[in-house]
Amino acid sequence: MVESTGRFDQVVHADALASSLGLRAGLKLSAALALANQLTVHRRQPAAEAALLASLAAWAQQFTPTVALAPPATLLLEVGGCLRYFGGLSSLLEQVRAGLAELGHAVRMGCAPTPLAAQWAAWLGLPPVMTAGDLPAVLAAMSIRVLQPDRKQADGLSQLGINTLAQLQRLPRGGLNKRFGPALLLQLDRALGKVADPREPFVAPDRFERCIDLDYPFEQLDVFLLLADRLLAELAAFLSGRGLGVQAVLLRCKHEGLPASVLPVGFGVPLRRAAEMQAVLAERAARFSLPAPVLAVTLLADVLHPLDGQPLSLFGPGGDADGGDASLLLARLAARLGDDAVCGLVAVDEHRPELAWQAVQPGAAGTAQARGERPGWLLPQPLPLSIRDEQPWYGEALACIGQPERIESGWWDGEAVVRDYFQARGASGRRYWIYRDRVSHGWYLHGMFG
Amino acid sequence: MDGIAISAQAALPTPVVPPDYAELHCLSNFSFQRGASHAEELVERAHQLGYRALAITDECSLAGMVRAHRAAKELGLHLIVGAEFTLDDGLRLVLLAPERQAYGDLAELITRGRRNADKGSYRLGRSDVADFAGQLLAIWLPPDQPDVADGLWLARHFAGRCWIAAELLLGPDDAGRLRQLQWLAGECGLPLLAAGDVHMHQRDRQPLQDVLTAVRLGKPVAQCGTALFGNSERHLRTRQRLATLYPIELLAETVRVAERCTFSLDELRYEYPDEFVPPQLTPIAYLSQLTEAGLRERYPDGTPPKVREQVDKELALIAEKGYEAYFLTVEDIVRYARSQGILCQGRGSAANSAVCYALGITAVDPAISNLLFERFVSSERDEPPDIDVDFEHDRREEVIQYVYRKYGRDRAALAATVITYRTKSALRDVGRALGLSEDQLDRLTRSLAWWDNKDELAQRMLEAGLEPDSRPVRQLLSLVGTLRRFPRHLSQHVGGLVISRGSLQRLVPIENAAMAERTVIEWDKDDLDTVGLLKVDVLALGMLSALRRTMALVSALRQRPLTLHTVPSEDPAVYEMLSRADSVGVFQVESRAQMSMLPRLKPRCFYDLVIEVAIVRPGPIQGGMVHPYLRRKQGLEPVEYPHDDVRAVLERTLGVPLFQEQVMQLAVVAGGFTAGEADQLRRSMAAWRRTGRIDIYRDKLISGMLERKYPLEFAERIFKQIEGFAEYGFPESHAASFAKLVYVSAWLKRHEPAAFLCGLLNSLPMGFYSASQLIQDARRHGIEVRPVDVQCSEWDCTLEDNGQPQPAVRLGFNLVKGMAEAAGRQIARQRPATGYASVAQLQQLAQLDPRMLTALTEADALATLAGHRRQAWWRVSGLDTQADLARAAAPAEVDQPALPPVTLGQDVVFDYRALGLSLRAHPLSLLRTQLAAERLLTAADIARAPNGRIVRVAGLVVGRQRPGTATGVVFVTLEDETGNTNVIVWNDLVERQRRELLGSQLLAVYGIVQREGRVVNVLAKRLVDKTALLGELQVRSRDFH
Repeated sequence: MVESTGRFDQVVHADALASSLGLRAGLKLSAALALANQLTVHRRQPAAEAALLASLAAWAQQFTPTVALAPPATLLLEVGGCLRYFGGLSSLLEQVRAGLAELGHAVRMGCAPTPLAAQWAAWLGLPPVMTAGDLPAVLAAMSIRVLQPDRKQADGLSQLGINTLAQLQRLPRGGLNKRFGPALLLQLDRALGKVADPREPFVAPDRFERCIDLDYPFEQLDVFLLLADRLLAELAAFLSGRGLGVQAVLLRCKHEGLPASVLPVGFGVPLRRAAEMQAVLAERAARFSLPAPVLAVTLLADVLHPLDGQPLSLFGPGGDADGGDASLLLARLAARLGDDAVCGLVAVDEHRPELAWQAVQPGAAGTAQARGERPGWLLPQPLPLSIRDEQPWYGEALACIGQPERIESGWWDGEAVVRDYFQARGASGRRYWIYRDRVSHGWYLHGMFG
Repeated sequence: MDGIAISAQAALPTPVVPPDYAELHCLSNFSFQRGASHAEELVERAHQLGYRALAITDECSLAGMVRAHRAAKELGLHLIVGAEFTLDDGLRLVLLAPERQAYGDLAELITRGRRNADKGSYRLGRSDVADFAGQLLAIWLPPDQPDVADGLWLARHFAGRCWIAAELLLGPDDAGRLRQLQWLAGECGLPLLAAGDVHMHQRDRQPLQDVLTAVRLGKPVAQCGTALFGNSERHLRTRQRLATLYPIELLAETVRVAERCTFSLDELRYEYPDEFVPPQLTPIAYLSQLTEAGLRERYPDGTPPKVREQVDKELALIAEKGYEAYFLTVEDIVRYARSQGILCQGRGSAANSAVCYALGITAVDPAISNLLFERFVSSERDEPPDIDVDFEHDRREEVIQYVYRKYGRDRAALAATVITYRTKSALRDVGRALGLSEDQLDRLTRSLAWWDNKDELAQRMLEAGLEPDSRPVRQLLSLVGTLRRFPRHLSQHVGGLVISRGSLQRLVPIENAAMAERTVIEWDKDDLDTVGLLKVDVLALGMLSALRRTMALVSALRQRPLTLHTVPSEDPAVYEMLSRADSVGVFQVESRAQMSMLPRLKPRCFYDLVIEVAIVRPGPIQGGMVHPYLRRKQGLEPVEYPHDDVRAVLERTLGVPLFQEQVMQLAVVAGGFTAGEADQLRRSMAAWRRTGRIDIYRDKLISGMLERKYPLEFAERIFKQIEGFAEYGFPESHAASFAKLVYVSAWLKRHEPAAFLCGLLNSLPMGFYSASQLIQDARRHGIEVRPVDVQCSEWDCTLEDNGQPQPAVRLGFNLVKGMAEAAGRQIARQRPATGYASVAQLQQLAQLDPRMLTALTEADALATLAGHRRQAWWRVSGLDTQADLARAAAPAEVDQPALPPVTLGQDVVFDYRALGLSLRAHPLSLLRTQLAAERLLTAADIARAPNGRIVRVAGLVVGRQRPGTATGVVFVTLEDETGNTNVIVWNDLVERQRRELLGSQLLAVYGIVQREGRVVNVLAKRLVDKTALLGELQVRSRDFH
């Protein structure tokens, strides 16, 4: 896993196999490739990580209403009030662990009387600290790295030979603040509970949108279903923390260079269990086919229902007043009439005539200008012409007018075009756009002028 | 061009006799990211097609002109000099130079455009063109929707010398375009002529041209759309074809224009500057006068007759060729340097003449160097003499600025270096254009060994997720192959200054360099040779800085001046030291390869050093000359000559050719080349290799040698040598000048090691070794080295009397990381005679900011003032910045806390962090018990081990080298508290243990001792990464690739 530092890519995580080859976090990608050229490299997706953390926070609200985010990868749960309800701490921890495992996430947990101490305990994998009285001793043994000192602070502390929080605490407070700023000791005080550490509670959004971006496009429906199931499982987790359900969702597939395709799935009644939703999807997907390789799959649930009540609103939380979601409507139209029934046309910045215009989503504007005189009607496929009396023939003899326009382009994508185009006229007075292929020397009809 | 070929036959009727034609609008690849053919290819193709003339019209540039000129001259093609311009209001035109004055105008216009803009671009307006419109011919390149007013403007400024270009390229409506241009011509009263907007010599370069466009636009070809050309018509078309496309009179007009252009680059007459000759003297009289004065100084007891004879011969030759001004120019520069105390030394064919010795340009004494420099100035060849002068690296800029001051920017500029595409950069650009990801490119370019190896190529392509036989891969390889050696941009030559008598910009365009205060001409070294322009190489050499500093220290220490000329020569103790490969810090021969050569070669005299310098080079190594020479030197094989003619050439190197001059002479003596041909052979080697024409010379040389009854094997070896020397050759004349510096630095190391260490440390970075390695070597030689200390240190390292014959070296603040020079000097200047009394006083007197104080603390330079650095750090970091600086004394903090105790290991770690070295202990000495428990030996143990012994050794990795001549082998240098161990890692182990090899800082090697005399290597069989033992000790390896 790599992330960009601006100037170069840097490894942030290496799996067991990669680690055995000497890879570690902090290495430049180029250096990592020098160690193992066959690496599979994934790019870190901070937005996706944040979204995932948020949906897990929603899920965690089934245990306690007070959940706080501590990005990039920590959730803080205030569980003091609900221990009894879940059958004690170890039982609660086990339920959290099992629930996350079901969702496919590994977790490291720590418990302590203050949020910061709990967070550090989780990082270090320490056993639960139950009373405030135990806290100072536990913290004293911790490395100063839990304070996440910046580069300068870390250098200074190492100059002083300070490695543990205990050593840090022994230094005069004023002197420390003067040298390192108040942030270090403030953290320590918060962890000890000497200073309040208010956290903003997580408020779950009233819609759900999650996207899985892929490194490589796929074409198989099976893969699509697998990803959709994963997304539905996350949706289910999101809903379960809040006592909500959904009556309809929308799956959207992103393609390279084509408009997204959508698959609306209606459940009839509000659902919240992943298995039920997945079953409906499986049925619905039987009539669905992927129009092109897929780069990303998004799951949208705009309307959330209280499980016992009615839908919140037909067109999302905004209500009917400001109209619905036009793209959703369009997607529905397309779903009803067929995807290829609705489209617009624009010119494309390209020499090859067959690629110089393109069907696009309705309303999308093109930026390119058409070049040269082009026929109003272009055949979907160039039509090979027979030769009669040394002239190309299409129901009548075609006579070329003037100099050819030579078009040679596209060598890079296997669709090379090497042609001399002519306007040609038949006895009927019709004007044709024909070309001679400069490789095969055959003649083709490519279009008709009006 | 598998997979990307575009080819077809013209199917139009052909006239029996094709009409005459001259192409007047043609870009070479010096129109960067536009032109897709070399100038030579364009010239050749135009010649082949029977064009009457070809104009090379690169965009606001004459950079490719000399190359085109060389090629055209060889083929007898009429070359027209011109350039294409797009003005700031969009007007596009081609300007052609009909004669010398117009050429000067063109060069000056280009200069103005280039100097008006940042490096690599230009800016010109109509008024600029109008200023130089007097004699040039103009061809207007009208846009799709031309404005008659533009044509009228041109017609007014280029009355009777302006045309409109009709460029019919099978676009959407050529007939309509022609009608439009004919109408335009009538409106403006300008004649129309045919032109081709040529971007390549043949149509099959279109894919490359598309790639160049993509590189220019910074996006993949597939996204370039109509920014690409729609077809491949912008090549040199056959005359038959042109006849079908253009009205005949448009073609005829091109020939009429060509006939008006009679200018050739041969007309450029270069004139040497001459202002330094006193008015009443001729240049040669003045040169003789200076030479005589110099001889009196060099030989106070009288000039040896041999030298006298040589001087007379040289002066006569100089007078005959008219090169006095050249020698006087160099002498003037060298004299300026000496007046400023800047050490310098000349090299090159002419530098090692007796005249240059007399003038002080070189210190190589002709009286003891056998007067072996036959290559001096050849009277057969009409080429300017060649003198390069090395100056101290940190003071060379002063010399360059002196030249600019003396001659003015109008008359002096740096020569260009053409930066060309190499495999790696070509792969990157083509790969991006073809849409490969950065990740794939990283994988492909990490190491390029696969480029020449089909099996590895397939493997590497698979690793990058590419099918080895696929279309994209075939296209990639083909395009990269073509793009390699294409010029990419112009850079400045490292130090080649061009000086002229008149205005330089009327000879050649001048542009801005990337560095401020620098200007560069558009031609490179070879171009200058061709045109005969004077160039003086003003180069930078770190060793000269170190030598000047060392000699200054020694002069002060021993109370008598020491200079390059007065170092005692031929001292046996110096040669004895070098023969032991005791050469850390010595110029040139300190590298590992040189160190393993020294004990074999056992230099005993100056000429042995000349050979030592030249022999460890790719030329002799590739030519297989090293071992025969060594065997003959050691008397293991007889010295024989394949032929008596060869004896004269090879006698001084025991029958084995080692120098560039010898190989060229062999081509003459044995291969029947003329001296001029032999030199051409060397100069043009790179170009010939590209076009595959090298085989012609191979055949000529080998058949010439066979005719003269040389064995085939000898002939082939000589040819291989010439190939090697073409790119990496080392001329004897350069080797002799370098050998002088080898000798002087070795003498200083042998007799004044403390001063030598001091001089080297103060000149870093230079050479092969870090400060830490230099200091360790000196301490092993018994030199006392004292730590950085605010009570004693200066900015530079200094010598301190310690009552011994060799003084102690006191490290300076210049070794402290993060220390500013001004602050360091201030500490030394403000220091009271009794030393600083407190940190506060130090801070106050030296006006140190907290960053400087911290840097000093971390380097433990406050130890004598404030106790150990851990305590000092607390104290120093507590000082408020500006507030305390303003106050007389910082308020002492009362609460100095108890801090955790320090271990020696921690101290060493902090030393390395702050200084990159430690005087306390070598990190490995702290780990010795653990290492010994694993039976890991020291460098000293290895040095004593017999050949073939199986050993384990561990050390800090201080160097990894993968020489270009040894395929795949990596040489690793390990350092411990007793010295260095040299490890050889063969190819297969490199692959198997890449991680240990590249990732270890502390490396254990299991292997076998290989001993040859004093040269000991460990041949690695297994590598173990022991870095974890170092804890947090960070030691940076110096990698040389």
